Amino acid sequence: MRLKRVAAAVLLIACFTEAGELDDAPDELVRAAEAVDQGRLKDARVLLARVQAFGYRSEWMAAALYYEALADSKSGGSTARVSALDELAAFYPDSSWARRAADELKNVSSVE
Amino acid sequence: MIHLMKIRFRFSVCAFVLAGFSLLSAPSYAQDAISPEELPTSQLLRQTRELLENRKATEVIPYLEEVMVRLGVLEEENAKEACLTAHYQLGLCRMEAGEYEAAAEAFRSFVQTYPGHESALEARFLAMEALAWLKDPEPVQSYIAELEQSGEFDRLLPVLREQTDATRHVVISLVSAYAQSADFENVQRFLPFCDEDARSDIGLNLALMDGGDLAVDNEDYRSALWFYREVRLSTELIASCDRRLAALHEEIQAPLPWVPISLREAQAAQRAAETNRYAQIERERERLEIQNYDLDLMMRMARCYDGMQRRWNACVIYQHIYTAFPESRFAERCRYSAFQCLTALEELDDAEQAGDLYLEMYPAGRYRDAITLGLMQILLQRDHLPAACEFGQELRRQEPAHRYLDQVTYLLGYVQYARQDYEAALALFRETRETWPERLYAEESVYWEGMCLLFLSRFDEAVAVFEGYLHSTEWQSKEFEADVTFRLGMARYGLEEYEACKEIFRKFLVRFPDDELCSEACSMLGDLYGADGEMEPALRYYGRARDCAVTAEQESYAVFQAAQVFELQGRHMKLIAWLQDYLDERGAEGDFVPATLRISRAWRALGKGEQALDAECAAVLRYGNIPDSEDADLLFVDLRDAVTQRGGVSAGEVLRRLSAAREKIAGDVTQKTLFLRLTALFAGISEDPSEYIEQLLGEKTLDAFSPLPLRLVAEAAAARGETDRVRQALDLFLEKYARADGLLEMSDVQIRLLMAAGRLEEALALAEEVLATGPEGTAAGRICLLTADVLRMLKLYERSMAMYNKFLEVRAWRGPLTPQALYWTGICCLELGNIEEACAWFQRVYVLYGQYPEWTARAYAASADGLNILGRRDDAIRTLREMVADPNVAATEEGLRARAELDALQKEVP
Repeated sequence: MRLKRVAAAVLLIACFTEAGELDDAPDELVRAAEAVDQGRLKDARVLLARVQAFGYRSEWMAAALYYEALADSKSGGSTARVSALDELAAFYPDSSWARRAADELKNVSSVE
Repeated sequence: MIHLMKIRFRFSVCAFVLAGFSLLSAPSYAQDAISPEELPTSQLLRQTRELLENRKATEVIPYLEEVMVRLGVLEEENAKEACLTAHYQLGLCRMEAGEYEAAAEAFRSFVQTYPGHESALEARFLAMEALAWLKDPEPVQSYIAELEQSGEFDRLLPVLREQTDATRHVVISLVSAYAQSADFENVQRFLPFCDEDARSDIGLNLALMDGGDLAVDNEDYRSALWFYREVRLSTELIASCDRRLAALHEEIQAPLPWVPISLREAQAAQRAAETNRYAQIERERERLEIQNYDLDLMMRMARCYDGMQRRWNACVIYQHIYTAFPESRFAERCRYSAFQCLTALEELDDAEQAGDLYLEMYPAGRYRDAITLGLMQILLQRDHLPAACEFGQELRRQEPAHRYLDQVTYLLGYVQYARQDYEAALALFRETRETWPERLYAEESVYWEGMCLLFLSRFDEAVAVFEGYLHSTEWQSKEFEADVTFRLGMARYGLEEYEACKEIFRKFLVRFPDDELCSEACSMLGDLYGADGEMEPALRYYGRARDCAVTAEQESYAVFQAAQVFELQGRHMKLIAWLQDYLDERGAEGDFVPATLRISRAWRALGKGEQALDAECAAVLRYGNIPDSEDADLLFVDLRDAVTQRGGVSAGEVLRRLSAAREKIAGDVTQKTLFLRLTALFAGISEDPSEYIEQLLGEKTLDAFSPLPLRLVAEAAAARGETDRVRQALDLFLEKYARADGLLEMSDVQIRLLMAAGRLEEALALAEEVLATGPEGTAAGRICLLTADVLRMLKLYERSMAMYNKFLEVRAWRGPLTPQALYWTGICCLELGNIEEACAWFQRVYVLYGQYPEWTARAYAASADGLNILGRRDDAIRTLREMVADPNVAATEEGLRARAELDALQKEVP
């Protein structure tokens, strides 16, 4: 699961790099994904919050919402998770992150 | 926009009016201002045409209306076409004249009259445009709804995509109207029709912000966030203004191209309009520079995240604002909001730091009172009650005008309540209620006032407070009505008014059938009926209490109270079935230890020891694999004690029942904990435990060990002098079972081991570490004594004596260890040269603790030595004689030595 997620993030970064649009958002997103996997949830939440607060028009929003929900699940939360998943489903319904979230997170109170 | 509309106006005149009118009549040059109704038709038409050509929109309106009246009745084609043209022009002229509602009406009636005409589509759009110019968003919205219903709206969409000034205005007006009513779906629908110029319209962006605000008001934070995210930042709009200004500047600077004289006026007007537009954009830019709303927007987004309880997102924005824009008007508020977010996130260190920094930066800030209250709450959350108390009292002393003094006082009451100082808590709750009766915490304070009185056993006063609350009209909806009613019952119980108490709990069940306290009310009723000997109603209530329990504790209480009734009634089979049902339902989540032991006891009461043992052995196998469960250990300990201490159960019977199971799971990693527990049990009951102990010691890691086998490993390792292994076991114990009963035993073993190895400093450090955790029970007494022993061995006699005295002061620790403590205190005195005092301590041992001959013998001997040092030889001999007179003491090593000494004395003295 962990490798799969990091691989997914790296793959997307690669696509982004090809498009020549690399900025801080994907970098922070990768660091956030790593932090989630390593259980450094506070670090992850801060990074993801930054992506969302200052890169809300970027194509990384869906991924950031997915990881926010994942981090919140891991820290035993539910309100933020539900809200992030709602946002993901409402605004990025066709993204791969929305599908992944629907598969992995919708009914999970605590992941892994 | 106006410019293009005028071009359209002129073009329409050429296309329709000229064609239609030239066919109808010859031109007339009459200039007299005669009303249109009085003009002959030919003159009416000519004048209308002239007015249209000269763009006299307001003046031409009555002429057009008159044309429509006169020609509307004619059947000739030319007349019909002229009438159609007039109809269309009427709409355009009304639009030009600013009569938008009438213009929309003209276009709509045009569409109605000529639905198949090629201009009908444009007329629909113009009707929409006219309505869009109205300030009220409702007409345009209802017109669109009408078009949608008739299916005409889809035909208009290509027009909207044209991205001319006219369509842009319509789209901006539409989106703005929908945004201002927070119509999320329609804004989403029409926003894509806005090109970059439209998106840069300041009005549109402000409308989107309004839409977000309205969604926030409706607590629809997700939509609000969407609205805010669609708003272009002021900085983006400024860049757009610059782009448009540059383009316009180029246009204005270019020389005017040649046009026929008839178009020059229009050309000049167009240039003037461009110049005006330039000035307008410049003003917009200026406004954006002055009223940059970017921070406003960020604040709004942060508030949305706050509303959605996504505090990290909110916090990051607040922190960014006060860090990047410290001089901003939002900076102070953001520091406060970030403090609140961090508190809600339970990042208490960061919150405290943020709060302290705020107070430092804004000593008289707007949020000072809220921050100080928050800091007090943080201390409470951290359970730092003394610090919270001091902080709150300081606030009460130093800041009498504190905005939240009621809450500070209330919280102080809570602190005192938690510290069980009910008198102090009572005074504070009372003050909160009396001083701030209109505030939020007044009602809550009444409840806690009553609770304090309950704990102070001032039941009559508690009744008065609770009843006062229930009868009060002060609070419209009594938030604590259920709780207070329940506590009123408890207060009546305290007053021993049992009938009134029953009545209250019965009413409680009717009045609050879904309350969380229902189970407890039922149990109280069960207890009350049980106390009266009415066992059947008692059982019924316990049954109800179990059914409506919302916590495990509530269910357990009811289940075991009912079990007790069954036991009293001698209904052992019923008890077994009842508890078995509880175990089947709750499994490992229930109180399986007492349930199992009661079942076992019931079988024994029925004279069925085999079934009792079966039940215990089954429970051992069922719950024995739960890792880290100290409760599961108790089942094994009970079985061990049944064999080794209580009797009635043989080791063979236990081994026969469990050996096969143990062999079966040996090597199964998923059953490791059970295997280890069974091994520890077998070691405890077997005549030769070495095989089992070897197995436990042979385990490479201790991860799967529960306290019972862990203790056994520690003891066995200690016996072999394997200090490191003992330390390893102890470390694991401290990590996983810090609160377990066996911790002290484990420490005891380790301390003794270190002492035996002469590692006294380490032993002392460990002993003090354990004592610092505030241990309780007899095992704690042993640690205390061991600490004193180590200090004595380190020749720290005064500290050692103090520790022995500490041990002797605790009544609960008195027992077999007491004579040791007394004896060693005497030895310390001897070492310090206080001989007489030492003798007094020794005397206490042999006078008061004769049942411990090992220690009385030592005390007698030491006392005699002391008396000899003092030169009181006769007293020493008398002591030795007294010593050997007790046959138990005489048989000890010291006793035999005393006998020999006395014999030698006798030989010396004839």
